[in-house]
Amino acid sequence: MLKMIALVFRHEAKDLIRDSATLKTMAILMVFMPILYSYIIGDMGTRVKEVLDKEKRLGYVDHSEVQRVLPWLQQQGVIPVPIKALSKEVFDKENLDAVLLYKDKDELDVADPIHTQFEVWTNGTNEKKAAAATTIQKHLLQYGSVLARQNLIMAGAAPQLLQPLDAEVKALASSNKSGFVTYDLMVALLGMALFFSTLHVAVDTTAGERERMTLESLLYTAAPRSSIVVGKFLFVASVAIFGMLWTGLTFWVVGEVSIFQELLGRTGGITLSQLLIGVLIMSPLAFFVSSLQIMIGSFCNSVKQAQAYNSISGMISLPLSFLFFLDQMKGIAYTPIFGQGLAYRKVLQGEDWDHLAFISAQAITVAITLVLLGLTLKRFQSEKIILTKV
Amino acid sequence: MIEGRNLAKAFGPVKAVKDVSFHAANGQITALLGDNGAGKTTTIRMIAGLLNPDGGTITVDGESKHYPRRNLGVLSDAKGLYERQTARENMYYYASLMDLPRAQIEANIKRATELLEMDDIIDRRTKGFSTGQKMKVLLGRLLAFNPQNLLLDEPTAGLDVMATRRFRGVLRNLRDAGHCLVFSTHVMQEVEQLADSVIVMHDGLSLTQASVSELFARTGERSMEEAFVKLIAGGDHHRA
Repeated sequence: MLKMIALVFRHEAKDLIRDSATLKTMAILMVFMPILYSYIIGDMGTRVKEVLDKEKRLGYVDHSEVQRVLPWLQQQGVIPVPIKALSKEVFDKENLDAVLLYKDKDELDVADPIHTQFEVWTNGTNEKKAAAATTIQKHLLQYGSVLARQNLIMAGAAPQLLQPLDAEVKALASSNKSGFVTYDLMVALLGMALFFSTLHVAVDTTAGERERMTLESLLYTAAPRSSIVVGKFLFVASVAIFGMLWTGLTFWVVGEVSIFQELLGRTGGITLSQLLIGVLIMSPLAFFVSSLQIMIGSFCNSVKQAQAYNSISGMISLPLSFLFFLDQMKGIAYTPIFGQGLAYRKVLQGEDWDHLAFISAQAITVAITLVLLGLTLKRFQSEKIILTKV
Repeated sequence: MIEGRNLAKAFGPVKAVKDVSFHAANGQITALLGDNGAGKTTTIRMIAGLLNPDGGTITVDGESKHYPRRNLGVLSDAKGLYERQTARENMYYYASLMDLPRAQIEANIKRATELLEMDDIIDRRTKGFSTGQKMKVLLGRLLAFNPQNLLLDEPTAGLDVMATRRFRGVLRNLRDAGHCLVFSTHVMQEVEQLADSVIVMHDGLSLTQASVSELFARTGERSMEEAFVKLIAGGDHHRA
C-alpha cells in the first residue's frame, strides 16, 4: 500500500515538475501576490502620511475674525488663498483642500457674544481633502485653546493649572514594525496561497486524468484505489504547503530587503521563525483544501467544471482576510479556518491564544478532511468515475 | 484463459449487455466482433473489473474474482498517455503499479522495445507522438508487466496500413508465446486475418462463437462481412 502511494506521489510530482506552464503561473502568482499586497500596505501608509504632512490650501472669504486666525494656521503649514465666495468651482480652480468661513451670528446667538464660530468646508467628494479639512478644524480648535489659556493667564491664572494633564502615544512594538496590518496580511496571504496554489494541480490529478484518458488505465492496475487517492491527495497537500512556504518567504523577503522596503514602502515585521510557525499552524488546512479540491475534481464532469467549482471553493479562504473584524466573535476560534487564522494572528502579535479552541479547530479540520477523502475514495470505487460524460 | 457466462449490464434503462457468453483460450486470439453499440466495450470493461456485471460470471485463469491483476493487461478505448513523460516512464509507471520487481520491469521493457521496434522513441516524451507511436507505447505498457491475458479494445483503430500489419505481427507473436488475447473490432478483414476464434455480438448478445472457417461453413458465405450480416439477421429473426 505504502509503496503504491509513493509511486503515485512520485509520478504526480514528476509530471508537475515537467509542466513548465503551470509552474511558471504558480511561481508568478505566489511571488507577485505578496509583493502586490506589500505595495498596498506601503501605499496606504504613504497616502496617510501625505495627508498629514502636506501643506493644505485653505480658501477664505475675508473677514476680521478670519484674519485673526490666519497667522496661526500659516504656522501650522496652511496656505491661505483669498476667494470671493464659496462654490464648487472655486475648489477646482484654486486647488483648495478646504474653505474657511466666518459664521455670522443670528438673533439666537446674542446670548453668546464672545464665542466665535467658523465653518470649514470641503467639496465632499475627495477623502484626502476631507482629511485635510479635519486637520484644519483641529488646528482651529487648538488655536481656541491657546487663546483661552492666554486670556486666563492674563486674568491671573497659574499656567500649570491650565494644562493639568498630558498624553503621549507609545507602542510596545519597536517603531520599525508595520503592526497589525502586516500580521493580518500574512495570515490572509497564507490562506490564499493554500487555495490557489493547488487549484490547477488538484484538478489535473483527477478530472484532468479522466479528460486525458489516462485514469481508466490507472484503475486496471494492481494498485488499490485507496492508494491512488491517497497518493494524489498527499501530493496536492505537499504542493499546498510548498505554496504557503513560497508565498510566506516572498512576503518575508519583501519585509527584510531594504530595496523592497524603499520601493514598496514596507517595513519589516515578520521573522522567519514566525513564518515557519504559521506554516505549521496552517498545515492541517492544506490537507483540508487538498481533499476538498480533489473531491470536487473527481465529481466534476470536466476540467473546466472542476476549475470553476474549485475557484468558488477558494472563497472559503476569504474569512482569513477579515480576522480583524471577527476576532471578538464568541466561539469562532473553535471552528476550522477561523481557529487556525486567529491562533496564528495571536502568535504574530505575541499574545496568548486559546489552546483548547485551536485544538478543536484542528480536530474538526482533520475530521472534515477524512470525510472528504472518504467521499473521493467512494467516487473512485464507483463506476461513475469513468462513466461520467466529458 | 478468460471465460464469461451470461454476462449482463444495464445503465439505467439502457441494456448495454443482455446475455454474453464466451471462452478465450491460451495461445489463441479471440475476436469480439460486433457493430457499434453491440456491447463490446462494456463486455471488455466488465472482464477488466472496471464495471460490475448485473448478472453472470467472469473467470480469469480459473479464478472468478481474486485473480492477480498483473495476469490481465487491458488496452481500453481510453488510449491516453502521460505526455510529459517518456515512453519508457509511461511503461515503467504502469508496470510498477502491478507490483513487479524493478529488475523484471526493466527486462520486460527491454524485450518490449525490441519486439515493438521502438528504440527511436523509448526515451522521448510522448507529447506529439503519432497514432502508431502511441499504440506502440500503449501495447508496450502492457508488455512491461507481461500479463498472461491481454484484452484489447479496437487496438488498430486509427492506425495506417503498415502500422496495422506490424501490430498484427506483434499480436501473433504473443499468441505463439502462449498468451491469451481477446480483442474487440468491427473490422471484418482484421478478424479474418488474425482471429482463431470469433465471438459475434449484436445488440448486447453473443450470437455465436466459432472459428472463421466454421462461421463461413455455417453461413455458406466466403467473406466475413457477408457471414456477419447473415448471423446478425438470424439473431434479429430469432428475437422477433
